[in-house]
Amino acid sequence: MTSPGRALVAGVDPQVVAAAVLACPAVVRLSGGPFGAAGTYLPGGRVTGVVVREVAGGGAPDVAVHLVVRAGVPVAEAAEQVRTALVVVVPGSRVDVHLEDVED
Amino acid sequence: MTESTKSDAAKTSTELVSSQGKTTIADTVVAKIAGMAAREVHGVYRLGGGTARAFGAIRERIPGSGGPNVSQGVSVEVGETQAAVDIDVVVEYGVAIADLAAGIRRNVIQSLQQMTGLQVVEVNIAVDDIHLPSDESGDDAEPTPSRVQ
Repeated sequence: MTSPGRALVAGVDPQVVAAAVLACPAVVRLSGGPFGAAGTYLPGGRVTGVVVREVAGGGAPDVAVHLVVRAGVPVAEAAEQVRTALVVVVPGSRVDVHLEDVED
Repeated sequence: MTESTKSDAAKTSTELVSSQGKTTIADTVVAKIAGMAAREVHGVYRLGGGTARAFGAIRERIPGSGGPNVSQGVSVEVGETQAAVDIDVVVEYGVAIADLAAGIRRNVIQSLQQMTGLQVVEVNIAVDDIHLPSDESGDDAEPTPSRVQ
């Protein structure tokens, strides 16, 4: 069985995606969305705020990230930072960025 | 990932059925592994539909019954090289059920293919109930202290 740190979804490790997103200067933290339900459900734990979904035909999975941005950073710039960071981590995937809140 | 799965599947058919003999895996084995794999996923409260849980509750109280049944709520069909699994689950309140089901399916398939070498053709998940935080005061609460000393 897989340990939470090494669980892959279609070859992508959601924890690595989370780390890459958190490394962006505009991102305060990841968020579970309005009900706290957004996340990837893995054995041993849930990666909140990062949804990696397998695509029916195989290939690169769809990725959605739910995050809280730093106040004062333009939303478009924050989204751009996240997309740029994820190009390397999930090449070829569709990346949806959901901004859930703004914090200082 | 898809490539390795394919090669695993191709390999398994010879792993379990070879010219020198075949390996058979009992339904119970598959059901227990699938049950453990489903339980591991965060957001699963417990396994089993209403009836299975009711019988399970009685069973656990019988001395010598071996404690909780790992394969409760899991039914399987096992062939020579393939297996199909049906799972009844009760989920936690506040999870994305579709995503959780995908997570369960993924972990069950991965665990079964790794441990048994069987190719898993389908994993059907029935979400039987949802566990609310307020349910905690119900059947799972600490047993009420005895009224008499």
